[in-house]
Amino acid sequence: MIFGMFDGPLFYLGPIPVDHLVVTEWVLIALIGTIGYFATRDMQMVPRGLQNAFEMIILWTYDFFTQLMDKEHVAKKWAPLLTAFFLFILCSNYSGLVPGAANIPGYQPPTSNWNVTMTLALITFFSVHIAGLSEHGGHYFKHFVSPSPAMLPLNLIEEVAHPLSLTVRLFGNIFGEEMVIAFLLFLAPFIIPSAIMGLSLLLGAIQAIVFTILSASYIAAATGEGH
Amino acid sequence: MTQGQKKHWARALSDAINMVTTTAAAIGLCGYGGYWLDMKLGTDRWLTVIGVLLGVATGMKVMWDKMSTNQNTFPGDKSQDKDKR
Repeated sequence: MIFGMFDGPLFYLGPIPVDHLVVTEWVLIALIGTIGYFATRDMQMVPRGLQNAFEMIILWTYDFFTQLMDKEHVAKKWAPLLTAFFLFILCSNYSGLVPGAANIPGYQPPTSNWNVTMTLALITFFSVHIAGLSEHGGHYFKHFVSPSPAMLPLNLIEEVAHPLSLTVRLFGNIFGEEMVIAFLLFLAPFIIPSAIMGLSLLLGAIQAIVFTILSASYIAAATGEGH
Repeated sequence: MTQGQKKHWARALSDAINMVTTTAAAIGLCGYGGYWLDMKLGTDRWLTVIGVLLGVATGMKVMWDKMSTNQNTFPGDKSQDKDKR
């Protein structure tokens, strides 16, 4: 909850309470889905306009993830998930900067709540192990006792530390940024918060990139030759 | 910047972020785990210290893994030598 905002459910879907975060996430998903729909609605052999831009972005992401993960088939398999992470986190981080958003009671960017960042980190956690199992089969579990069974505790701690670091870093950065902006808006409205909001554009992009790169790195490590 | 360095910037960046964040998370996780056990068992900070040391060991293991993987992937960074010539 950020200054003056209430944290209760907005409405109920049957027995399930729906709060502001969930509604914001739906709006973001609808926004990304709508842009995707218009980009792929009338696909041409010679792309133009939005299709052209999206094809360029997708080719760049495939190339980027192939460099990062070494194996092209792994990169192609996991690039859609990683790109979806990037787009969702980027839009979510920027949603707090939309003019008028601060006037909506209860509104906060989804990534400034640790439930959302932990959900994203858990998706990464399970994806990493699914990727490892699909690439190496049962041999994947050998890496937990590699190079020797004595390393099992350290390997297990490392596995738990990955989603924890993803969760805390994204949540901490975005929540901290929102708090600073809220404080400055309270103390000195207009000019000074604008500078911090400008920095928030950079911070939001960096956090989205870092989350995506780290997720790709974990998947690459699970599917790599070392396992 | 050489061709090899350009090609692997994303990998180098991800390795650096990975090492730092995993080490910090491991120290935090094990340190807090040790602190919680100390409070539970009344063992006067011993388990907190052991937890932090375990976290540091995990961080060092992560760094060692990354360094050995990179040594196998880019042995001697031959692209740099080629570019110098």
